[in-house]
Amino acid sequence: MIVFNGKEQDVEPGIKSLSDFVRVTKVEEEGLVVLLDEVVIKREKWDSTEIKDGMAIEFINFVSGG
Amino acid sequence: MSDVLKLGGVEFTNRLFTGTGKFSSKAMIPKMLEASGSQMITVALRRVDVKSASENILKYIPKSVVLLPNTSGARNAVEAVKIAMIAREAGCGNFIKIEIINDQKYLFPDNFETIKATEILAKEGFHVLPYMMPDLIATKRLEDAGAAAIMPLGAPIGTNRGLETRPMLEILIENSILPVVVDAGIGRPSQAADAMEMGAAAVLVNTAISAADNPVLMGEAFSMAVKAGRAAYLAKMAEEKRFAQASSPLEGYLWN
Repeated sequence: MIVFNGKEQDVEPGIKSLSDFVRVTKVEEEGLVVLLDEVVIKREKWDSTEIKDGMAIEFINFVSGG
Repeated sequence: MSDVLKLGGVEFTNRLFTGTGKFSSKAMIPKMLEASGSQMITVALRRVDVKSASENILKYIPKSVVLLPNTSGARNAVEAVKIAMIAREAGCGNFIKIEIINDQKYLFPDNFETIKATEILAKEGFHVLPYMMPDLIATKRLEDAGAAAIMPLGAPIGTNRGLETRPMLEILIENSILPVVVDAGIGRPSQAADAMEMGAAAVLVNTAISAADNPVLMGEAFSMAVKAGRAAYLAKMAEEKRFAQASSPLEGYLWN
């Protein structure tokens, strides 16, 4: 069980890394910012970052605003 | 004549800052930036809704334009600091517009929390541009806290009502050592020119441009107004008089 964007959810079988997780959510990756337990994980570390039980993952992006 | 505004080590030759909010089509943003020559633009950070397609706003902003992420959605200094850190980690640079709002009716900024956030972020190396209620004491606190400029509101966000806070803006311009960037409420190019004539260092305009029928043309109009207002300020305007003062000689009339 992880907390994704503020909601608890199970992790699908086969998802090991942050890269896997990003891929299955099918969000646009360009401009995507990923926070793991409130820390930004740089894109180059997505492959090597393991998804573990209890983690809080946030997907953030830049949107229009004044 | 060289007239640049230096903020955070960056030289701005155009004193119109713009925002990315409320454009009917994001494709208009780069065209508006080109037409207006604006060199700084605001963006916001939000959680991605994975169930709906979200567009990356950054792809509409040319690399030459400085990004000014805002902390909208923050209700206190802690949240604003967190948003600023995320924006920087995400590669948005060191500029940050502090926007801390608890009042949802008028969207007035919380000066007290804004000062706290400014102090923390300035120490972390950010170039902090705090959106604030125009207040001299808060301005002095923001100077001490290390703000790069102050951004007092002209009128509530998105109202297009112009410089309703004019007397306070005049006091801040006269008394602050920081550049004063009038933010929020400016609805017409003439109001932007007015702010610049008063001695504002720049203006930040979003809704008045993005909600116009033709945002590209309106961006250009605002840019011209800002330049005109700045030139008028530098030229030092003639004194106002209570009574008429003839512009032609008062002697040698033809029929006397």
